[in-house]
Amino acid sequence: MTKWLWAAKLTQDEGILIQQALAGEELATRALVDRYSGQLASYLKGQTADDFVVEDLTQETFLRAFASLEKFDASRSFRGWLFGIANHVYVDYLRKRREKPAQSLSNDESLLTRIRGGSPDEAELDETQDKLSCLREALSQMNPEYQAVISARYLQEMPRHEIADLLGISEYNVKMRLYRAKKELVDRYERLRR
Amino acid sequence: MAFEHDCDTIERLIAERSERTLRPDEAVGVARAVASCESCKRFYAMHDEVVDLLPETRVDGASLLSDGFTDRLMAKLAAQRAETVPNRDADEPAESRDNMSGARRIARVPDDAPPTRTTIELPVTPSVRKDGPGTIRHMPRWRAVAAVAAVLLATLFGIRLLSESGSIGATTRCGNVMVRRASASTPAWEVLPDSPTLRTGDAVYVAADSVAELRLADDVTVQLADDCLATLRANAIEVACGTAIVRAADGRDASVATPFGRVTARGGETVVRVDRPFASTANGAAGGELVAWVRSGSAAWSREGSAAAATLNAGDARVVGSRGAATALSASEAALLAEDVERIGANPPAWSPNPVAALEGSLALALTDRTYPEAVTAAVSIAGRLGYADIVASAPDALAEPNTTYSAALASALVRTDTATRESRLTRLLVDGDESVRVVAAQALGAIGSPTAIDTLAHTARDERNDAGARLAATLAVAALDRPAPADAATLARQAEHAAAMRAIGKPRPGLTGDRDALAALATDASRSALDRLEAVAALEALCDPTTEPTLIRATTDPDPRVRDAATAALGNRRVFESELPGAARDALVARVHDRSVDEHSRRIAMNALAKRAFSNAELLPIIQDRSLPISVRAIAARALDKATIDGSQVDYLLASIEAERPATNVTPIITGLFSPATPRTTLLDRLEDRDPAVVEAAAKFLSRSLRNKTPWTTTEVERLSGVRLLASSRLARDYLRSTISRVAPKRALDLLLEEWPALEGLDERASVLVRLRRYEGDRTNRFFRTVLSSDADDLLRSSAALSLAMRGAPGRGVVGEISAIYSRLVQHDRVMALAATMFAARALLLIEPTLVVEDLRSVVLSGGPSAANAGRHLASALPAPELTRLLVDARHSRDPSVRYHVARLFQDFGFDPASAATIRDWFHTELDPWTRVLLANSLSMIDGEPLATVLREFAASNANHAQRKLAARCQIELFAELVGAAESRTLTRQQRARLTAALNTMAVPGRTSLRTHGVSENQSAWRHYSDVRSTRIRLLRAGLRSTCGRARAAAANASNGTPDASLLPILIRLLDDEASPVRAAALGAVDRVAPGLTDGYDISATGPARRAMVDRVRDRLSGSPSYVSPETRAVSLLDARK
Repeated sequence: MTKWLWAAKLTQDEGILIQQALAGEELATRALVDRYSGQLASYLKGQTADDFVVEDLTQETFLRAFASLEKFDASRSFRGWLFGIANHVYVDYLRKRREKPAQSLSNDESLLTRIRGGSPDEAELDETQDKLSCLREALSQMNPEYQAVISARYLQEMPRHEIADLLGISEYNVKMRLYRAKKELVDRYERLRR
Repeated sequence: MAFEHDCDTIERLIAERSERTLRPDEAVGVARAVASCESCKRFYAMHDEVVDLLPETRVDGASLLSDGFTDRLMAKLAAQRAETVPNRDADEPAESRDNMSGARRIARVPDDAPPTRTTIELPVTPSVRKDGPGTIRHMPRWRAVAAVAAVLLATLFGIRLLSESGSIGATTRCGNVMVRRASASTPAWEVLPDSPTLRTGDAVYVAADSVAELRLADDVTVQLADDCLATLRANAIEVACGTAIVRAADGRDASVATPFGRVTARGGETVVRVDRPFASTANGAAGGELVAWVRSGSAAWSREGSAAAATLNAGDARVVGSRGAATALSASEAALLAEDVERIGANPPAWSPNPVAALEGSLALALTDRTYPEAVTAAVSIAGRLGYADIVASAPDALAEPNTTYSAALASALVRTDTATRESRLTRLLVDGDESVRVVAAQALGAIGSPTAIDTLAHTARDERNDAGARLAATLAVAALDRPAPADAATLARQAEHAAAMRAIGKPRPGLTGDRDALAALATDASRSALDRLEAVAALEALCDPTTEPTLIRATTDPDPRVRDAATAALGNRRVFESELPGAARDALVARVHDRSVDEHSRRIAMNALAKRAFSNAELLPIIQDRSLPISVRAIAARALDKATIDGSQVDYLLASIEAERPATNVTPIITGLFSPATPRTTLLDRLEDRDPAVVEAAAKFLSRSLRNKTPWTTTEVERLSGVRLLASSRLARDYLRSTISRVAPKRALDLLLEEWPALEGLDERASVLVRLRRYEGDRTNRFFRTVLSSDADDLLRSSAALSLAMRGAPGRGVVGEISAIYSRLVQHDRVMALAATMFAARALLLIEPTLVVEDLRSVVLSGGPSAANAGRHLASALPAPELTRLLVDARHSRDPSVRYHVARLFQDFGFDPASAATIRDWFHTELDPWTRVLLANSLSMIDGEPLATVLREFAASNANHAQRKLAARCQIELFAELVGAAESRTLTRQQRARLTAALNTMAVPGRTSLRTHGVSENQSAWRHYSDVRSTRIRLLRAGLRSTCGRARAAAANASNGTPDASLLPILIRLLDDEASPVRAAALGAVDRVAPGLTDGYDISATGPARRAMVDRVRDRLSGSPSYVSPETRAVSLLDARK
């Protein structure tokens, strides 16, 4: 989708909502949360498989975003700004997790599925579900940078310039990172499919 | 057969396929690689599978969040806010802001809302920016210069006025300040004189780049800035717009009356900013707002007839909308305001009534503090431009960190200022500077042109102790002055380390000889580095000398592939080699094309060179049919053939042979598509069902091209197209198919477009279809547009539908209301009209109800930005000439050059009120941007009685400044080219073209002598312009000579007499047989001018076969007289005779 169409969709009423949220309007804040919580959770889901972690990270992202809403530059995309904060939140989460490595895998269904191997459920999976399962796993094995760019491009369908804004890199670098991410994803997916 | 390729590159291209459309050569490369390489094929398949599956992995984010997530989050946010805002009174609600679309837009609240207390702490004194005086880091250099200039100007201008009973006297003045006397019989604006006496009732206007300080009483001053319009009153100052900074002693009151109420400052310093009332709201009320900021002391705001009032203490900042009470500013708005005040120069380092001293002080300050290289560079540049010799003299030779930009600015400043040490300093730069600084320093010394400077250059060039690069720069600078070169430039170039030096001598410069041989030796000298040889080949090409061909042919066998490719490409350069390809060059290029040891890219270069050098069909056909050659090479040959004239049997044979080439089927459409007149439609229709989207896209594209084929489409074929158009996976392919259907079966296309509309999902595609539907007039489409407009579709689609209706003049009932509502909603957030939806809505209203949008569009044009040009064009097409003139008057004062350019362009394209010619002429004289000047001059030429050449000549003569004369000369050249282009343009009316032609006739193309007189001889680009202008003129004449209008032919032939050119001879000779005697007479004169004696024996009064025989004799004489014309011209003449 072209830049201006994205802009047309995203800026609808957004400026008013942000300014009202800044002034402490609860309804405006709630409207922004409602508008972006789903997208944000979906974006974070592309990076971590644990649904509980997704919810925690979504909440933390909003808290940080509203705490620094005054710093938001109105000329930028609010969504891009929000997702940028989500990236930082996710990296912080990973850092903390490394410090406390004991993690439960109970909620990581795709991984469990792979570990269990001949589980009865697997037999019921059709070919597409199996492929999807492999793809999700391949995605979860990638480094956060690549996860972020793939998630933004293919799950959130962000245009390149918005991804550049989100990740703080140039559009050319987005292009190159996207290529590398896809190459790695294809390699991992292929290995898992064999 | 194995296909050599780089798997990484192919994989990258495969990955990019999902992001963009590959070019045909890239698509061919991918197709071949996939066909021949298992690895690429696997990656291709896996990549597409992954990309297809990725959207499937998307989950519904909302379902991931547990119930009550939003409530919990809101509670946490409330707690977080309570922690971070401890000062807010618990019983005081947060201020409501019902409308804030941009950082500077402020809330409007109802009239009856109580004044509220500010909750944000503001700095009493704005903090000084960390990045120096008025510059921003990482900004482009010109911006840094502009920023520093703005700060300096702000500190420069000012007025000191003394209070007297009943009048105010000014001791000094400077800057762009105007006054309108209340006492004058005919009130008019005038520039404030040196010692003004202002009285109550006088109005003062302070331009955007100036500051005026009025002393209303001994202890009350008001500083006006920012495009400020103020009127002096007995006990207050009325500010209609702009910024006023009021300073009053403790205990003293000072009132500022504004359209939004009165601000009374009580001691201290208060800033009052009033917006210009450009925009009007939907209900007709004036837009804009008032900002009041108390930096120290206190203030009160009140409004007549309203109970609303507010008291402001130090640090408070409030804003009042057009109808609202005061509300607080956010921190970011306050920071912006603080920056504004700082920019105005609220705290200049030292107030001085002498502006020159103030400016010098500021420049000197910038040079003393060398922390910020951009600021120092800008200061040196400004000082140089304004001729402050002392300041330039005090500038350091170099900064702490070597900075080429600074050195170049210093060199330039030294040229402009007459300091005793400038030549010695430039000499130091010449000897010690790096490559680019040396060149600048040498040119600077050359520009000074004094005997000592030339001696210095010559001495530097001869002194063997100096670096060869410096000596070369000095030599070239002397040669550019048409003096004997002090040293052999070619030898120096060989010694110079930097390869760019060789490129320098490759450029044609007067006074240098022997370069060609030197370069030829360098290009084939194996002992030199490959880079040097490459530069030498490039320089040889730049010489545009056909005799360099043998050297280039030798260089095609260079060991380094880059040199080989450069030489090969040079052999195909038409500017160098206008003649037919000789045997040796052809053999070299053909050998390169067939050389299997070199890569495909190099072979493509060779094929391109061959194709450009008039390669005959007979030689192209075998290359196209040679299957051992890379397909891309054959495609180039095919493209060359496509441009040539080939007969039907050749095409059939080619197509048959290409079709026989399977299994390379994927590339067949690309090749076949090149033969657009005879593309086999069935083949392409088959390709539409291919699995590869790239092939489908290519086939769709070539199908649309093959429309030139006159064979009517059958119903079956149309239905087949209709069937695949929605299935095509690529948006581009679908567009091509729609386009094809609409051309071959327009009635069916309308049905299809309306049918497919509900199934379309992408907004952009729906918008595109909507635009396509505009072509179909009639009630059916009108009804459809009205349905879309009244639906709940996206605003983009609705406004596009409204525009369609407006363009047809069939808006219908209720449409104005609908589109007004859409426009009001959109423009609230998109004041710059950067979004297509807003612009569509604005255009629709402009056609239906212009008064609603004219002011908005006007403010968009004057504010510059991305939509200014677009908005301006729409506005100009709807506005009457006097309204456009009003726009002009505002635009010429804009500080933004792009605004001035766009508006000047509007006047050129749309015409303007002839009564404003004087304004345009004034603007023309003060405009600095050369392109804007060209446009203005062009506009002037449209008015009768405005001899353009005179204007330019006046300008050139009236300015003693060297740079301005140069500008005038360049303007003249560029203007000529522009005018010629316009005169050829079919978009102008016949009358406009006639006026342009008249303007052209008054101008003489500046010859080399006049160029030199104008001081541009050292400017290489001037020569380029000269040649461009000349070639454009010849092109124009050629078109005129071939005109179907007899008068035009005669005029062109007469003009050819004034522009003798041998390449026109064949056409002129043909005109000797023209039916119209004036044409024959003019042609006779022109031919005689170019080739005296050629027409001996020709009788202008002869008729019929006798005249034709005479003309044939002239032709024969021409073909047998090599002294007259080039072989090419003779060949053209012979061909002409055969016809």
